[in-house]
Amino acid sequence: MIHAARSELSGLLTRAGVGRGLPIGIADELTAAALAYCSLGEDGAGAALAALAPDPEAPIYSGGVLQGSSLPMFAPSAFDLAASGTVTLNTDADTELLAGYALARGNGWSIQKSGSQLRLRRSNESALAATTTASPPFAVSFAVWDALKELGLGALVPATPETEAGAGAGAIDND
Amino acid sequence: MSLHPEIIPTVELRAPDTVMRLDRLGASFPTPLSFMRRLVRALIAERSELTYPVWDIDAEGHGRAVLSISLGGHVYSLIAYSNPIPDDARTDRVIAEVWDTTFTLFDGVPKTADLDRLASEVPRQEAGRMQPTELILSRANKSMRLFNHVVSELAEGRQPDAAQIGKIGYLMRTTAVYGNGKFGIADREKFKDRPVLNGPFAAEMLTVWLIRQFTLALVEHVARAKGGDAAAKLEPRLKRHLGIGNSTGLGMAPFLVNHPGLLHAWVQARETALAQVLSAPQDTDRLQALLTRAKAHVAEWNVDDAVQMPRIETLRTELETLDPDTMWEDARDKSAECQEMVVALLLEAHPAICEALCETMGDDRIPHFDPSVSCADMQARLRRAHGWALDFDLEAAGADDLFWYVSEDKLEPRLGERHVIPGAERESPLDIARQVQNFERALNEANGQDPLAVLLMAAPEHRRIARRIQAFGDLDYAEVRDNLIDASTRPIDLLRAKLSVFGAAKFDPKSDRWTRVTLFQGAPLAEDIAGGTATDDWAFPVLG
Repeated sequence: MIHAARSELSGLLTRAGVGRGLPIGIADELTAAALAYCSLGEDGAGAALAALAPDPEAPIYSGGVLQGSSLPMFAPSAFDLAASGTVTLNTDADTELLAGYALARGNGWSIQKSGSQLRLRRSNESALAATTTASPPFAVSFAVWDALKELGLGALVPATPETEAGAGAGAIDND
Repeated sequence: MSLHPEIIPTVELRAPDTVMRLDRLGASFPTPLSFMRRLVRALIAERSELTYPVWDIDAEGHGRAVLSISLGGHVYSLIAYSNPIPDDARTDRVIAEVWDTTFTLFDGVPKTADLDRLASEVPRQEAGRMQPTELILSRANKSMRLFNHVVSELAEGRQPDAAQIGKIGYLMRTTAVYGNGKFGIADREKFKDRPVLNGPFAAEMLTVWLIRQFTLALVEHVARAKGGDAAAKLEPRLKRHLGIGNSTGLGMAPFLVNHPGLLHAWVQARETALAQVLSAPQDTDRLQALLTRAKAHVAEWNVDDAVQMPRIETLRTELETLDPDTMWEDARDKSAECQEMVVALLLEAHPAICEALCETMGDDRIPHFDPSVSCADMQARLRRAHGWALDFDLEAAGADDLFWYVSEDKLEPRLGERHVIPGAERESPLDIARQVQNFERALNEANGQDPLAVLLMAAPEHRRIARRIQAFGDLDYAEVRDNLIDASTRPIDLLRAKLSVFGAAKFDPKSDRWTRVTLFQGAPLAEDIAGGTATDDWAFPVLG
């Protein structure tokens, strides 16, 4: 296992999200959800990796129904719309990480899932926050760590002589 | 915001449209608010004593050492590993793989098992794996010219050439000082509530100050090994003028954009201090003494850079025209360098005002985001808070010629020419002005009565900038008010803005993308602090 600081894991997760094709603001929220899930003593990094399916598609909103299959793309809008008013939520995504999203929002939510139908409700009691038990460093399996790093390469520009030129100090600094 | 209890500002804070422009930020100087100064005041207040529990260094200066100091009720130890490296591998670039000395700041006093564990990790830096007992990771290379000169002179029983010390100013320069959880070291939250280390970058500053002590001990150790009993010790005057060099490149540049809350806190503290100072009685004798010292300091500030050196020459001329009684008014028609130097001088003359504001320089706010606001409300908020970003003509030639990105090479931030270097599709989001304009267009096209949530569902690419505007839009100094992808952008300005808040001096740009600076030059030595003779009056150091 790798024992990662919160900020280190945060950078790794966000790069992985962007590398997978998520808009940066969506990747931010995936990261926040994963870290919140870690603080529940769960495998937030593993859950985030599982949620990062290829070709994340934006959810569709029509007739008061939000439908989506990519949790990172679906969850932020699901919570936004649930906070803004009545909405019907349908998803066939693995929703393990939803508790992390709820906790990251910080204002107490209840989550109910029945088949593909999801109900998100604000509640006055922050039951999830009360169960926060873990603090950094967070344990991440080598396999998950490496997979997230690999995904993160998609957010980085490969090193070439052109990109190295002018990046910083001289090649040799013996002065 | 903490205010000095006896001084109510009667002048307004300077406008963000002035002080947050890139070229103005790039003229910043350190002040008593700077983090190095705050650390030194804490060391002085506690009369902290430095000890050397381990000094296992051979005659060539290689081996390991531990320097420990008590501060704020905790003991911190700098662990140093010095190894021989080939000259052709000595580079200040982040892509380096070996360094003359590598360091970690350890929480407590390390046991032998800790030193053995870290001996195989710290020298590898980014490739190593640390634990939360380690707070900071760093490395430094020797200034070969000066280190060898000082060793040979001391070994012969002589003092080194003061002119060389004045010209170079350091025995080693750091090339990275990593904190906040990188490579397994502790998150900042581990020590954010501890006295002294609770301030921004306090652990990093403590590490660099300890590295300075290590380099001074190392050079005397090697000289003694060569010269035996005939070897001299460095005169305190020369020793004090030796700081720590630092090479800073683009790695530091994105920080200010990525931490708008901190940027606001830093600039707000300085501007509030200035407003208070300008509303307070002035000590003309003190200002005269500071001005005299500043002139001497600037006279010793020489660089090769074709942009910075003429600015320094102008500054020298302008400083001669200032009257201590009227220097703020005198500076109004002078260069940005001169005006910012006067800000620094005025703040130096009022340390109590600055001390009261130091506690405001952190940012622990939890940003709030409300996607239930209407698009019309969001647009109004954008125009009110980020209207400055709408003024740039992003269709103009050169307006998007540059793009920021992160390289696969050790995750190094870089800046490329969009139409020359491949990779623009992986651009880092430092183009705040362009994001604001794009978001404004999307809001224009949206139904104003719709919740923002509806727009962000259809256009999630605006999610981060929407959050940023809501969270930081009411903070006057949170944004660098320039188009950071314009062809005219000089990243060096971002570096100087941040480094001056750290307390760095003698900015020595090597291009528009990296600079060398000197840290802790003129600062009290460990013996000054332990002996009770140290003061915090070391701004604008002069060797004479």
